[in-house]
Amino acid sequence: MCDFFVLRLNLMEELAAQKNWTDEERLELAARLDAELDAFIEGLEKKRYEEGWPEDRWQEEMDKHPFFMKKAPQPGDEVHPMFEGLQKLKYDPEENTRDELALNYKEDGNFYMKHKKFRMAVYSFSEGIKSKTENPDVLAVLYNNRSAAHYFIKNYRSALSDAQRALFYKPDYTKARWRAAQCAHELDKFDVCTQLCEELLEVDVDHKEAKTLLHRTKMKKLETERNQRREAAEAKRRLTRFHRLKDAIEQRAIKFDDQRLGKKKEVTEELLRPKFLPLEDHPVHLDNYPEFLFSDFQQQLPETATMSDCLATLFAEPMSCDKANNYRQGNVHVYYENRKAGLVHKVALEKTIAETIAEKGFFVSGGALLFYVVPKDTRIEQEFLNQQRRPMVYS
Amino acid sequence: MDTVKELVQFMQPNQRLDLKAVALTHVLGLTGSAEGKEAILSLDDMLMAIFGLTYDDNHTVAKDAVLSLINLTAEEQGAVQVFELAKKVQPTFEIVNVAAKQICDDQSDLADPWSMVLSNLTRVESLVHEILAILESSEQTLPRLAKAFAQLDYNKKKARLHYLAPIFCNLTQVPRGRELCCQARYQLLEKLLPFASFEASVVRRGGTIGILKNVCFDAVYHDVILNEQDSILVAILQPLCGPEEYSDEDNEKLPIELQYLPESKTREEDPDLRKMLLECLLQLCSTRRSRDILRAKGIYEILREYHKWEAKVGRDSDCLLACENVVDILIKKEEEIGLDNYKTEVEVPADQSEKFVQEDAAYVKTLLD
Repeated sequence: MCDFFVLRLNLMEELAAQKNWTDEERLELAARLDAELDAFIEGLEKKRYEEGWPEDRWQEEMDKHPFFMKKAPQPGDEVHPMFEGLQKLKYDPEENTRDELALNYKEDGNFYMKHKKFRMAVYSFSEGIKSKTENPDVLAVLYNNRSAAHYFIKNYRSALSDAQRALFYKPDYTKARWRAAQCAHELDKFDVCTQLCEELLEVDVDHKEAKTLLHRTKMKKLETERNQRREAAEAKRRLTRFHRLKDAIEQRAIKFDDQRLGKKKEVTEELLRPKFLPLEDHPVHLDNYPEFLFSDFQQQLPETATMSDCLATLFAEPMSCDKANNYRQGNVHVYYENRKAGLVHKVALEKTIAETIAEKGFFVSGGALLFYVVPKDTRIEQEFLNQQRRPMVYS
Repeated sequence: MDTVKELVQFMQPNQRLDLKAVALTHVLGLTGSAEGKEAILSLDDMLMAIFGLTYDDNHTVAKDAVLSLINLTAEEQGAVQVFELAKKVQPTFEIVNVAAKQICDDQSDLADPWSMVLSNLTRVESLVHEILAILESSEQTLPRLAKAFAQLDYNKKKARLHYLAPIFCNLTQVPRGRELCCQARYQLLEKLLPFASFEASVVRRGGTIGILKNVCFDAVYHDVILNEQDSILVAILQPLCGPEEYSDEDNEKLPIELQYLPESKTREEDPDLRKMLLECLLQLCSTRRSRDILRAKGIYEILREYHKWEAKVGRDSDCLLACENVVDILIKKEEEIGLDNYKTEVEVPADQSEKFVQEDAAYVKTLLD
């Protein structure tokens, strides 16, 4: 480059010496210059330019260059030496005072905030806090800004504690207080939120948002408290109902086949909960038609009803699967199973449910009263009676 | 009399501490009796000396001075005299501002006694306007007093500040006081209300209920009271509610704060306060709109349970009558009532009015067997 420049200069001198130029002369000179330039270039050492970026990877290189990169290197990435140098200038504790360092990180964080990179912002502000600056204003800003970053990614707990720390360093930090109030509201910390809102209103009575939030948090608190009270009342009601039921069961000496032996006979809610999926309420009566593997449920049956009454309700509507109309009043037998002994007992149809339950062999099974209905004196009845039944084994 | 006069010379700020203390103890003793009070109130010099000693560096002296002021302002005449003299002396003793400042100062030892002085002064109706104007002259004073009241640990020297309740109650005697309380901007009332069921102090509770009564007797505020927020209504009803269980349907009607109250809920113990609350409700029954709101919010259901309780447990016949007065109105259909506003549309002739009072008195006697 330098040689070329000198050459031109000489030419210029030569040119300056001459005065009147004709067109031919000019053309001649141009041709001569071209030839000389070619000769010069020809004479240069033949070597490739290798300092630049390789053609196939220039985009990659461009991205690495701190001047052109489109995104900041992530922690762990290999960094460009130039970037490293700049980083050193900006982040080296030996090049910067603690305050400068903290402020540099703050700038970074703010930059990330602007670009909605909240996690990176949290990282930058954390680094700033780690820089051990003792300047309370800087610390307040760092905590406040980290709180903001946390807030945007809905880390309300961290956002609240950061905002509170910012307030510790700068008690009149309205922005931090307002964010703390919002976080407290999100976290259902009603009393904290109320106090923060009141502090905000003390400084500025016309802080509309604070007023609204104060009201909202109050309503939310009232509702939560009401719900707790309602649940308590509900639980109490359930308990009294259960106790009444328990007393009734114990009074009638009803036996359960899934009650563990050996232990003191205790009626638990678990025992009373029907184990058959479609049933959810407590007192249940269940009729089974083994022939069709089909079950019918009756709930809320008075214990003074007789089995005949029961059947009457059952047969009020003819069953779709009973083509032969075998299942009707007077044409069926009802049994219950004693799973403990592996036996079946016939139910006297004129007995009330209460009386049947009181029989020695009757056990409540799976939280329900289970009866089997079969057509009288048929093959089905025989099959049902001759079924293999083994006494239950207890663990 | 002369001996009292002689004490004045020992009560100058630059006097020896022991002399000041002894003289003041003596004065404080005197303010305890009617004659002593009269003697002191007749001596402007003495009062001025007491004013001066409220600033004393020695805590005991300052406290005794303020305690003397409490006694001296206990009756209306004394209160007026102290207030007027404080204005007259040179330089003026700004008794209201001093009191307010001490109450608002969370480090003050004298916050409680000063609140009693202010409570005494504000009780005199003729002074309230003037006192209110002084308190209002700085925008911060009233909100700060409200804060000192609402925040139970406000005073770091363990002053309880219960007497702020009667102060606010007294201030709401006059329309301007009610207006300030109900202003949405400062939400003063909002802060005071929860103390209507503050169990630990009957002074606080009583004062707050007094505020409620003052506000309810002013029909201007009925719309404010019966807004969708219910906070005032809740404050009135909460002390009247007991632990009784309501059906889910009835519970839904009640303001949210009163739904599903726990078994531990108790009612206001003081029959006078219960009666005041019931009178508040009666005032709210005056217009058709408010009656409709009260019915919709399940007030009738609350009073039904309350009446049973009062007849059996509370056993105060005045309260029973007050309760029945409200129920009698609420139980009626609007067609039966047939008028919009009891207060403006019904006029009771003087002789009738007396008759009603007598009938009520006779009826009250029959209420409890």
